[in-house]
Amino acid sequence: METRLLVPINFLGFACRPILLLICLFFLSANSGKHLLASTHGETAQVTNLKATFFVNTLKYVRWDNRDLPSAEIPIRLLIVGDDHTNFKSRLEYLLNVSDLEISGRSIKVESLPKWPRKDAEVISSGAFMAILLDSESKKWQPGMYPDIPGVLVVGEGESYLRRGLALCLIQDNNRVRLRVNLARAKSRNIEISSSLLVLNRVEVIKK
Amino acid sequence: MLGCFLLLPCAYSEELSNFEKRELSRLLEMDWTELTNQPVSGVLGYDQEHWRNPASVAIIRSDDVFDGGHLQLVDSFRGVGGMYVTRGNAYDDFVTMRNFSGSATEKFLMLVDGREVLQPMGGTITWGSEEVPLAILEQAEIIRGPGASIWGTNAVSGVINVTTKPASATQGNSLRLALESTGTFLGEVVHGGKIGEGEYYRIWVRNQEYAESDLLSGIPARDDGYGRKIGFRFDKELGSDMEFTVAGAYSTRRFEHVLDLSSRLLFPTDANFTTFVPVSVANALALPGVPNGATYSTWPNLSGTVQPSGVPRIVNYEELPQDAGHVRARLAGVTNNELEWAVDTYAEKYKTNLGHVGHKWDRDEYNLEFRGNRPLGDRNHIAFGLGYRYMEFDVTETTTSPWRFSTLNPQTGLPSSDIPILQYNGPDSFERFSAFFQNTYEVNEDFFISFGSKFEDGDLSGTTVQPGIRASYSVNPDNLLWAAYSRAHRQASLVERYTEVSYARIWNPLAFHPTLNPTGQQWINQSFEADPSLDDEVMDAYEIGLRSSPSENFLWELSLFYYDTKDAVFSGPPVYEALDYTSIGGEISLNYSASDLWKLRGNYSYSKGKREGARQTDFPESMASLLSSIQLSDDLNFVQNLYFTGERILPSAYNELPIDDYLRLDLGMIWHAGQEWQFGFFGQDLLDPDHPEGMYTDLDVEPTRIKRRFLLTVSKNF
Repeated sequence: METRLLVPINFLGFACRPILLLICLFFLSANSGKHLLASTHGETAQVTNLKATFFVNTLKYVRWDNRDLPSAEIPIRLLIVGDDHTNFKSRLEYLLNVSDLEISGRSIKVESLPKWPRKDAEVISSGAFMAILLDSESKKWQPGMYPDIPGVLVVGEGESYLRRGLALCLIQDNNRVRLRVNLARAKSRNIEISSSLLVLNRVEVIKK
Repeated sequence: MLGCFLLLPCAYSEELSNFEKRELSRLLEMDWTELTNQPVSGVLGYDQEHWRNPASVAIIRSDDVFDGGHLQLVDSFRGVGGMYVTRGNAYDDFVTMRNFSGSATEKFLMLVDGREVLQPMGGTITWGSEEVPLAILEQAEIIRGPGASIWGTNAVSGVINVTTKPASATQGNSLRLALESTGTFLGEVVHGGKIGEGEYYRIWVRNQEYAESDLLSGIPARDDGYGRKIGFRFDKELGSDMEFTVAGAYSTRRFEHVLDLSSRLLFPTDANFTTFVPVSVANALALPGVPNGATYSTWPNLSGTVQPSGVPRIVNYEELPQDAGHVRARLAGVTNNELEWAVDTYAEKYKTNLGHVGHKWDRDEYNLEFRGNRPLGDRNHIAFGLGYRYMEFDVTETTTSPWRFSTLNPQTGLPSSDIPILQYNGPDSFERFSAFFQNTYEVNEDFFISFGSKFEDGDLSGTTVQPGIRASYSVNPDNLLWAAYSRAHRQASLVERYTEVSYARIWNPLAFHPTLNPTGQQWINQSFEADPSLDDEVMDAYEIGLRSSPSENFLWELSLFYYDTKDAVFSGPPVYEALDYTSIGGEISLNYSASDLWKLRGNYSYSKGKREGARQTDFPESMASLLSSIQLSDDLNFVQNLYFTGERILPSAYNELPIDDYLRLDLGMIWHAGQEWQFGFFGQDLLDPDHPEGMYTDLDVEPTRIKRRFLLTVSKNF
């Protein structure tokens, strides 16, 4: 059998012209990227799409004690806390609306909040039972800020939240979104995470 | 502080664009495994958000196949703009894309779970052998337009990328049964289970029994038979970021196929041997000097007449067995520096005997491939890969019984009773090395550009460089423009390149004379040589498209293309020709939810091809489809599908067959009995008692009648 070189003999002929153009484009784009880094938020809409969809899917595996929930006619408030530059709120609103997802017959109302309230009483009075802490809040968050109220679920966007005592975290890792679950923290808030969630792909369970 | 909770306006309450809403809806429909496998960033056009695709892409999912009342995946392509699907006989379908082919060769690439399924011998796809149970089908992605810079050789007029679900998504038992009023039956059974933590398997069986059709002339087509297939898959999670898959399948099909000899035994009507009539016609006309068919004991008896020429019919049926098996394995993962990688390998054995032409071959194929991609900075995402493929052929030619009579072989100057129709004279093994590189660059949030090239070196296609560049630009939140340029290659099939074809025999009625007429009173073999110089077809493709979503419920797309191909191979007697070909056209598609209960999908495509400047007539220039689904109640759906196919001419050297335009109306009722069971009843081709659609070109095989029919389907989900 005839053996040929992988590198074409006519590489310097006609065939190489589009390749040279593509190589130039690559270097141009690589350099341009560095100049433009300052203008990017570092997180694309698609990451937020994925995280929002993950969250909505996750809610299907979370069980609350009815005694911890507000009365049936009151919607459950979901707070998006922090700098919502990728419009997490609108994406969640849309997903919840399309999926008709309810918690024990109660609808979910999504709201934005620039920062976490200082006192548990403010959380109670707001009727909030779920919150997503965005990445911008990660440096401000301390474990002691987790409201000591049964049924309140606080989810963090980013790994650092898990080390600071949150029950659920949405993490971007290796070009994928994954979910980390702290069972003990969830249990301490009287929230049950279904075991069928824990065995799913890219769900990591933290037992302490 | 409470005011913060209750009163402060939202700082980012901007509306989502309609594209974004569609993307969210798409993600929401995914199961957990699918969702977790969605990359945060990827290569533009292949695994990014679909609405950003700088290509004309259609996705077929299992619901589309079931709701359309399609027995096979390939049938559902009829609802995709630019796709031309025809049924030849009970077990043969033909698919061409964007008016670039015209013949039985499929000049696009098809992959099933990464395995190339285009047959290198004839350049065709054996659709029936590649079917999988509907319950395990993840999707069929139809990318119209060349994708050579990633997919490589043969990704010319497009790519069809079929993927199956992971074993973890097919746990339990699933069943699908379908019975057509013609007698055709389909049964599929899938069982999936869990072996241990992160270890899932499935096994499946598929059986399709094909009922006999009628030929256009009304006589039985003898195309009944069966296609049976079994398969398995095992997936294992090796930690959180590495997966291993091993899968395989074995298929066996048994049919008969026909060769029409009517126009292959010729009698000259002038002394210079420039015009001919079939011998059966010469016999009927009692022309002087015609050999008496009765003296040829191997000739089949006359049976009816060939349509539309009316020539007395001489046909020979032979067995056409096909057996194929493959095993594939995949190891894939993501490293800590976000390099997503996969090593894929497969081995395949394919055996077939085209008994009607006496052409039998075994093919052993081995493939090894590495692919990787990773973000590079915040704005680049690179993809790259290396591949190696080895194929080995064992070809056996036999002279079928009707041809076993003394015929002069002009090449040797001697009479012989052993001249096969096909004589393969090529190498028995082939290698191919390939590499590709692609970069997707995010200029800004609205403008993406993707460029790269594939490099290949192979015994069949030589050394090729196949670059491509694609870009998408969001004009505003609800309108996206895209454009692409690609250079793609298609390698000539082994038959086209290495196989001598004895396509006819001519009777010399003149008296024998050793010097003046040494061939007198003899049959003279007519053949044409293969052409090893047939190099790649090289196509420069230019595409532009607009995708628009004026409302959340309405999406429409316009794609325009211009293909300029050098050395396109056209097969068929008397020679293989490498000619220049241009194809221009476009598709408009729409997707509209008139209400929560009524959904519509429509397509119109127009394309015009020119071979050396002359208009091609073997592809319908206009095609359209309108698919409608109305939810009558919570558990009852009414589907109405209308397909229009323009006229064409089935080419032939002897017996061109005009195929009139036809309108196909399918109506169906689907009852969802709980979460698991679905029942469907469909009426298909309701407007017409029967019509022909297509057949192998240039082989003078008569198409069958595609009849009005009814279909009952039952399926049980996992």
